[in-house]
Amino acid sequence: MSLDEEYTAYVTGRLSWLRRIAYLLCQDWHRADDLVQTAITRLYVKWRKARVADDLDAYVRVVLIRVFLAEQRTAWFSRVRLMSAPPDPPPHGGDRDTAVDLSRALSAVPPRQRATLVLRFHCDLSVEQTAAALGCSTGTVKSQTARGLATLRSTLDAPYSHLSHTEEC
Amino acid sequence: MDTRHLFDTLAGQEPPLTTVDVGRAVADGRATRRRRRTALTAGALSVLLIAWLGVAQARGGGDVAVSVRGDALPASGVGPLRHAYYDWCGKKWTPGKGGPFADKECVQWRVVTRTGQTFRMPEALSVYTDQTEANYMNTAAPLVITPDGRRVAYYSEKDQRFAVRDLAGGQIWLTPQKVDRKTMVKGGVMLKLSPDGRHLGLNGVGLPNAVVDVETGRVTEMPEGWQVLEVGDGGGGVVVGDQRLRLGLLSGGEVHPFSAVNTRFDVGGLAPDGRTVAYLTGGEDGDPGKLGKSRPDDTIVTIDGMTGKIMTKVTFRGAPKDFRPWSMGSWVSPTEVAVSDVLHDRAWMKDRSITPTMGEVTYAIDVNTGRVRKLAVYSFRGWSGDVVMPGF
Repeated sequence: MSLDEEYTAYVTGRLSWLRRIAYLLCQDWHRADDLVQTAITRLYVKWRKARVADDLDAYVRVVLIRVFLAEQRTAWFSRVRLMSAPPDPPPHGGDRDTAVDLSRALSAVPPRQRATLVLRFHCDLSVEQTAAALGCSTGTVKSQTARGLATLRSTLDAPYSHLSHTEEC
Repeated sequence: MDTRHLFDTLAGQEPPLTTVDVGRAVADGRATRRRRRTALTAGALSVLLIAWLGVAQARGGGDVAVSVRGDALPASGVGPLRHAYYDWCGKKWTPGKGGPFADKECVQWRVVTRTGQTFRMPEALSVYTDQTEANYMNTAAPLVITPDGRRVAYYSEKDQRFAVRDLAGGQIWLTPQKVDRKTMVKGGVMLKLSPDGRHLGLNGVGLPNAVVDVETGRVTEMPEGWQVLEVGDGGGGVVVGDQRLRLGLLSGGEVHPFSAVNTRFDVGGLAPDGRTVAYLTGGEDGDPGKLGKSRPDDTIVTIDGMTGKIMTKVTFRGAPKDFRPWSMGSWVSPTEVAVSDVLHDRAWMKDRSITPTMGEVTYAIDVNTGRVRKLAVYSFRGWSGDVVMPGF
C-alpha cells in the first residue's frame, strides 16, 4: 500500500469521528466540514511523520483543535460569514430539544474553553492528556474546564443546571 | 444528565452529507509540499529545479488528479435540486484560456439534489472552453432552476436549442428557436424560468427576445425595445426592461412602465399575484469601473407593476453587519423575497495554501417588516466557477 493509499484509507475511516469533534467545536456542520478539510490537508503534508506517531488519532485530533483555534484568531466578522451556515436539517432521532439547547449553550462558551470541554467530556481525555493536546498546563485545563462548565450552566435551562461540580477537576 | 451525556447527545445527532473531499485534501497537500520544496531549494538549486519541473510536467507528475463527483444525471426519477454549480475541475483557470479543459467531464454543470446526490449534466453546455480573452466575462452557458427545484432550464448543444427538463418525470421540452453555440459564446445569455417551470424567457445578444411556453411551443415575442427580466407563473406577467433603464410589466400584450428613465433597480421574481414586483434600493453606486455598489442597498420596496404605485417600503432589520445583497430571487413566502450575498472565504485569505470555498448565501427579506433571515449557504471548493440556486 502506497503512502497516499494509506493516508486515504485512514482519513476515510476516521472522517465521521473527525466531523463529530469538529461539529462539537463549532456547532455547524458546514463549518465543521471546512475545519476537517483543512485539518486533513495539513495531515497529508505531515503524513510521513504522523503515520509513525504513537497515537495517530491523538495526533489528528490535535491538528483539528489547532485549526479550530487558529481560525478563532481571525477577525470576528470574517468568521460570521462562514459560521452562520444554513439551517441544518432537524436531527434524526435522539433528543432534538436537548441537542438544540446544548448547541446554543456550547456556542456561548469561549472557543478555548469549548475545546477543553470537548476534549475532556467528548473525547474522554484526562486533564494531563488535554493539557498536552492544547499545549498548556494542567492548571490551565482545570480552570478552563471550570469556567466552561459555568458558562454552560448559566446558559442551559434548569434541567441541566446540576452539571456536576466534581467534573471540573 | 451529566456533561458527558450532554455531549454524547449532541454528537449522536445524524450529520448531513459531508462536503469533505479526501481527494482534494491530497491535491492541496501535494501543492503545499511542492511550494515548500520550491521555497527551500529556490536559491542554490534553481537550475536543477527548473530541470526537475520540466521532467515532472512532461510525465504529468505536476497534474493533480481531480475526481468527478457524481454520475451523469439519470433519465428520470431525480428528486428536487438544492443547487447546481461548475468549478473548472477545481483547478485554476485563466479567463479566456479554457482550451485545456475542452471535452473534460469535470467542467460540466453538476446538479445537487436536496438529498445530497450529485450528478453531472452532460447534455447542458457549461463553460465555453473556446472563449476568447477579449470576451472572457461571458464564461458559461446559463442554467436555471425553478424555486421548487423540480425543473431545470439549460442550453442543449446537441439540439442547438434551449431545453427545460422535468427531473422526476424525465420529460424534456425544447424551444422552437435554434441558437448555435457560436452565438452563445459571442454574446451573454440570460434565461428566466417561471416558478412553475413552464415558461422560459430568453434574453441575449442574437437571441429571440421572447417568452416560450415550452409545453405547447407557443412563443410570445417581446415588444420592440423591451427585454425579459422576470417571468411570472402561467407566463401572464413578465417584467421587462429597456435600454433607457426603465422597468415595465408586460401584461395583456402591453407594457406598463413602472419606473422612470435611468432608475432601473435589481428586481426579484413576480409575486404570485402576477403584478407585484419587489426591488432593492437605498444603496449608492460606486466607481463604474468596480463591481457592486459603494454603499449596499438597505431597503426593500414592493410596487404594483400595473399602476406604478409603491405598496410597501421598509429598511432591513436584523441583517448581518456586512450584508451586501448581490442578486434577487423568487418569493419564498407570501411576504418574503429571497436575496443572495456572495460568500467570502476569509480563511483562505489568511491561508492561500488551501483551495478556497466559493458560493453564495441566501436570505429572505420580509417586504412588510424588513426582517432579514438567513436561508442557506451554497458553496463549492474551487478557484473559479459559479453556483445557481433555485429561483434565482
